[in-house]
Amino acid sequence: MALQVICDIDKRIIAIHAGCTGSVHDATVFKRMNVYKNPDQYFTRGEYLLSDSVYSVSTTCVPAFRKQMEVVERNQLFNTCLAKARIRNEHCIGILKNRWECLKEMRVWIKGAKEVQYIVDLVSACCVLHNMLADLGDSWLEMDVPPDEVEAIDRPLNEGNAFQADEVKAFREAVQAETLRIIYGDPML
Amino acid sequence: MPNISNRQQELEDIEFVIMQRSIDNDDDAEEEAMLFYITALSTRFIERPRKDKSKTNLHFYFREVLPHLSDAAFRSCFRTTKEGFKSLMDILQGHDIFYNRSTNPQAHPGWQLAVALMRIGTYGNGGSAVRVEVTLYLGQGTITLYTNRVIKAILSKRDQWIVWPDAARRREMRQVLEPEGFPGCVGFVDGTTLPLAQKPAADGETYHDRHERYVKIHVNCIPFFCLHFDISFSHQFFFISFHHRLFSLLSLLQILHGTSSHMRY
Repeated sequence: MALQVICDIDKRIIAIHAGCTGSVHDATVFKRMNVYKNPDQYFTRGEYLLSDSVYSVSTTCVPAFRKQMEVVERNQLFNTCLAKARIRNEHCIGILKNRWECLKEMRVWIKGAKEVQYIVDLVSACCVLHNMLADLGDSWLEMDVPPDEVEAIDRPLNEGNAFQADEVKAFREAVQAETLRIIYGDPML
Repeated sequence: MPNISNRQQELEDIEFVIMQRSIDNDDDAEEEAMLFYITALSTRFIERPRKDKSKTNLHFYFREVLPHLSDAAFRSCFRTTKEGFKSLMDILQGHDIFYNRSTNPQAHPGWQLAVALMRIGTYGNGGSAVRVEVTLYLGQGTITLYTNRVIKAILSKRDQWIVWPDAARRREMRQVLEPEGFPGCVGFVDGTTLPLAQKPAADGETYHDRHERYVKIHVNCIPFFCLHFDISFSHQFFFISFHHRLFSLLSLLQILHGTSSHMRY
């Protein structure tokens, strides 16, 4: 069962998507989310989400560079900055799974839609509880990052037509240039 | 084949004995057998003698045991502090689902919440109904009922608690992230898998994920199946998964009538 979590800087969950099977790629799950489908409702111009390298580039989602692109030093530096910011999400998922430990191994034998619905309800309930307790100031300190951090297979996903692909790539490069300027001062290194 | 319960079996056996003895005209023996028959008839489950698993046990547990738990024990059992638990109770206890119109009221919402938290916060079969039954001495059906009620109550609050940040909050986040180099970032996306303990009965193949990619697929008891592209290593697996999907699609279209069995494997 795949779970997609979008969290904010305080490790609070702001959007989830549960219910896809394990064989569905993370990036595909993200594409099924409302946040991806109707970005105008969720973002003002220039706002974006950060993600790891398995996601595809779009104007609302800025992923890290893939392994083969990391040979360029600029990309490597950008990935380091991105990882430092993105660690919050790994913490968020770590807290979620360590606090509600039934999520580590679901002992439900799926026979049909009923059981799937039960799992989705359970997972959503856990996320709501996570937020409730985060708001009440009861932080969970065991921030084990789950053993989930295996580098995924880099599978290029369908990124629309060539024009769009160019546009979104330009967007990521703009973000990268800005980041490098803020952190290292020199835009061209 | 119909599954006959022990009680049913017993009753049938005694009936047979009674019939035999009435044929034999043995009145004393017939009366004795009748007594057995009535005893068996008066219990619902003969293999499970009736025990008191009423809410009084819950009373005892929450009045006598819970208040004396240390903070650490409470936290490890209910996954939150005592204050956190009280606040959760305040949020949830107004929900309709915890109240009925009967003269026999439900258990206190806080207690139901405790049972649910205990189950949700436990790894593996520690959260199964039987384990909680042993701990709290409640009926298994009651435990499931409480958990489902609490989940429903929590889900009714979902829209208030999982909300997309409004423009002001997004601006605040961008300000915080600006020194880190992302003045436009308003959130972080990531996916995670929730492993299943058992391969699902329906469409089990599609549940395989990428982490079990080196597992040979013909061992069909593995919890996850992933669809991956390392063909040299496990093309066999690739095949089954694809065939499976193809099969589902085609059977939907009802054109694979006679060939489905050999198409699939």
